[in-house]
Amino acid sequence: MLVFWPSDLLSPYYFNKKCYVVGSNLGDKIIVITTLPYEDTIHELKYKDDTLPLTIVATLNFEKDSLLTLHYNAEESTVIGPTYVTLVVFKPPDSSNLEYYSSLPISIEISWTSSKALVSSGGSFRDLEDVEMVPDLARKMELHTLKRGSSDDSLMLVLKYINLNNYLRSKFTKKYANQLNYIDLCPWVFNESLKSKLIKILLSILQGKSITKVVQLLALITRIIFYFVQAWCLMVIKALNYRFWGQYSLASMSYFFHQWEKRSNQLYHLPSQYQKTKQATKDSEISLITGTKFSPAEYIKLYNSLWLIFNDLVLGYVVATYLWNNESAASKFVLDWLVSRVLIDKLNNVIIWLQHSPAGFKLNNELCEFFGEMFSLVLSLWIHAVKHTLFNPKLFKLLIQMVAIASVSGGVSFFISILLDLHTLVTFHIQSFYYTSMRLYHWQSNIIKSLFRLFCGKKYNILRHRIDSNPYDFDELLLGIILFTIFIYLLPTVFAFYLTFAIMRLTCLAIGSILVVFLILLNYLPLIAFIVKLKDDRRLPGGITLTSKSSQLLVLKSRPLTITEIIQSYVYSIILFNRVNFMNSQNYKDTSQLNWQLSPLVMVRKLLQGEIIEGIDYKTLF
Amino acid sequence: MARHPWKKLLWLKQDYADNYTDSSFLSQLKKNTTVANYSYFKLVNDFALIVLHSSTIVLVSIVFYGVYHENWNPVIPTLVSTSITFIFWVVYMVISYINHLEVASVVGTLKSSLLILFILLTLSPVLKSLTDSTSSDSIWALSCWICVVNVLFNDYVIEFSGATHTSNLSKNLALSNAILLASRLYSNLAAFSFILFCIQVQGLFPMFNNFTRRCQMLAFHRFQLIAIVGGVNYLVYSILGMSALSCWAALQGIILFVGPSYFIRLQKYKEELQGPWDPVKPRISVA
Repeated sequence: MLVFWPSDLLSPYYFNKKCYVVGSNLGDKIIVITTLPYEDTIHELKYKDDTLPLTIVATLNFEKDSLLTLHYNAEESTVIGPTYVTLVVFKPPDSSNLEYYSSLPISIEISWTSSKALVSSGGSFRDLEDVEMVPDLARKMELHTLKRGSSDDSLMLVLKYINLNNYLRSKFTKKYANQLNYIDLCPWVFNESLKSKLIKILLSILQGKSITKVVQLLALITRIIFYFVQAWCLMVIKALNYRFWGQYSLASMSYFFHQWEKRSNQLYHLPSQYQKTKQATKDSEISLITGTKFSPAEYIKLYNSLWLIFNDLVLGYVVATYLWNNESAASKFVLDWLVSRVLIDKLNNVIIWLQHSPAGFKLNNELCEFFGEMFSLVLSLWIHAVKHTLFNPKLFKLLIQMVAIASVSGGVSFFISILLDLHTLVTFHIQSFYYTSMRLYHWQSNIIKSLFRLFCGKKYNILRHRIDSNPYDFDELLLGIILFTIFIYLLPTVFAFYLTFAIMRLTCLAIGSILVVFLILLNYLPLIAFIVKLKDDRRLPGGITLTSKSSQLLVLKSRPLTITEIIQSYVYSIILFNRVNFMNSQNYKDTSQLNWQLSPLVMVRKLLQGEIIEGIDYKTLF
Repeated sequence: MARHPWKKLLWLKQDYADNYTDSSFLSQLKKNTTVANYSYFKLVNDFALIVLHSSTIVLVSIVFYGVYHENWNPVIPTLVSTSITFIFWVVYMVISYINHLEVASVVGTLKSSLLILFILLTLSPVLKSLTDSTSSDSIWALSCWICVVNVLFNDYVIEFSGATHTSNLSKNLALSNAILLASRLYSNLAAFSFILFCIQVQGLFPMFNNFTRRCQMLAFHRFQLIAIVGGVNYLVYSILGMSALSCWAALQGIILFVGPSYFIRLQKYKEELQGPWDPVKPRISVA
């Protein structure tokens, strides 16, 4: 028989003191909630107003009737019972502090939608137990999996009582303290009353009438402000998500607008998140009684977004100050070095280099000349379009000032998102060169593949999806071979241009991806989980451990989540979040391509086959 | 008690040890059932096809040499080959008509030849400049290898029994060799006429030769053989000299006379087993 004993009921107060032990009896397990001093008049407890019944489960330091008899051992400060009893000592969790025991690790979520909604809309991933199954299917599933034993269920019940320890104890005491009129009910009651007395005194000071009115007024003003802020945010979100021609919205086109929408979303949700967190203590107890899964997710979400916004603003202020002070240097760097030197002059040099046997490779002169002239022409058009409009010095000065203002008001994430937008704009010509050469290479390699089959006297059978031998006519053969030979000889030239632009594109993608990673970290880093882990890791239960002290004594402890587990859980929730966003935006059923997009092998394959290499699609995924 | 005689039945429980081998076990084995007895002269006839094929390759190479090095007028060989091709085409039509054979329509032939002609004309500037930046040595080496592979992989149609599907690989190789060599020539006209010459010599002539052999006109076939081989040998002599000719003739002699006898000598190593069992093909990869 297991007796679960709160560690705060092991004080020397119990030395030779006769007490009733109040708790819950679950057959072979007893969970102790509190004690009552011995009195002749007590024979049985009538405490039926709750869904969790409490009874006298044992006696301490005296024998009575058929009840289990326990003895307090002062030397080792434990409780000893008959030999068949094993004592399990636990520290009662402080539910007001959001501590609790759990056999399953809690999940770290940052996104605003709850994981249940994600799972039900995003298909099965994990947490299958949470999804309500069709009863028929559930029965079938039971046949296929190991049956969850009754021990597992009773463990959950035990943990429920343990988590509710403080709550049940205070409720019980309130009821019986008046009835029984004990002064020294037990030591913690005394402590509690002292504490509450102090709080009451403090409150009475605070509750001076004038102060109350001021506080109420402040609350009202805050509420009105938040009302307007929420209305504004809602308007912004609606406007940024308005879809032109059915598919393009501002938030889906520009990183800046996407970030703005995201920030508005955070602000919009803050008041309700705050309300929810305020109720979290109460809610947690109610949810424990009714049996629904309790998770401090709201708490983590609220403080995480507050922390992230705060961080963001502080860093944004730093960046903005720097920009404001070094305005001319920044504009010189971007205009003279980045746009003029690197993106236009160097690129022109590369095109000229490609025209004249690059790296000693002998390419086809005529085709090289044609490609070089074509790309040079597009580049000169590009210079006219960009360098003399958006990137002329006067306008750019204004742009830098606006960026500084944006990063002061919105944080460094706004700065990074504007950088990303500018990056997309500035490298547009490289992107178009890449697409052009990629399409050319793709066509050519496909034609060569099909003509090589002709060379071997074979043909692809589209009806049976296989390669059959085919008796070609002589003129077909001639034409095919002439084209095949020409394309084979022109392939190195096309490939040289394609490879150069693909490497440029990959470099741009890498730079963009680094900026996107910064943006993700600024917006979605589970900062609060790490802070809670440092401060009070029992708020992040990752399971329970039992350690044996002696043959009759076990200690129950909550195992906090490790850093790795936090990161895993977080990454998992982010992936889930991404999947749902991906499917919502594109109505794709197959999300498998998401997982493979960034694998280096897939990238190399795509590079060689002439398919588009895409980076992280931040704006749809987040 | 006398034992029952052993039977070659796996499902029968018999009074013999598991590893018992009866003397009658291999009684149904047959050896070399498909070995044919070759006559030497028939083989010389067949091997002459190899000589013919290699002669056409050498002919193309010599014409290229002449145009590239000796400043021949590239149009003359093409004109000669075109007129011969036209004569052969007329012969082909007449013989087909006499023997009641199925022939391609005149309009169709005209259409496809015009198509090829115009495409070649259009693409000849591209073809001419295709390998400009590549050094000549690598082109000669590549061309040599293509010719060797061409000789090895040619489908020398010896038997006409059944509707055998002929491989076009050697024709494709010959044509890509022609394009490769034409890209070294100096003018568009030279490239165009050289490729046309190659198509006629290496693409159309073997088809016509096969046709004459199919129609059992062996005398005409021998005439073609002797004319081509003799002509090529004369060209080798007149351009490359006596020593080149003697080497080339020696190679031809070896192919023509030593080859068949070596082939006959190899027959004794043939060992083919056949029995009442089904031969098992080893499975290399699991599909």
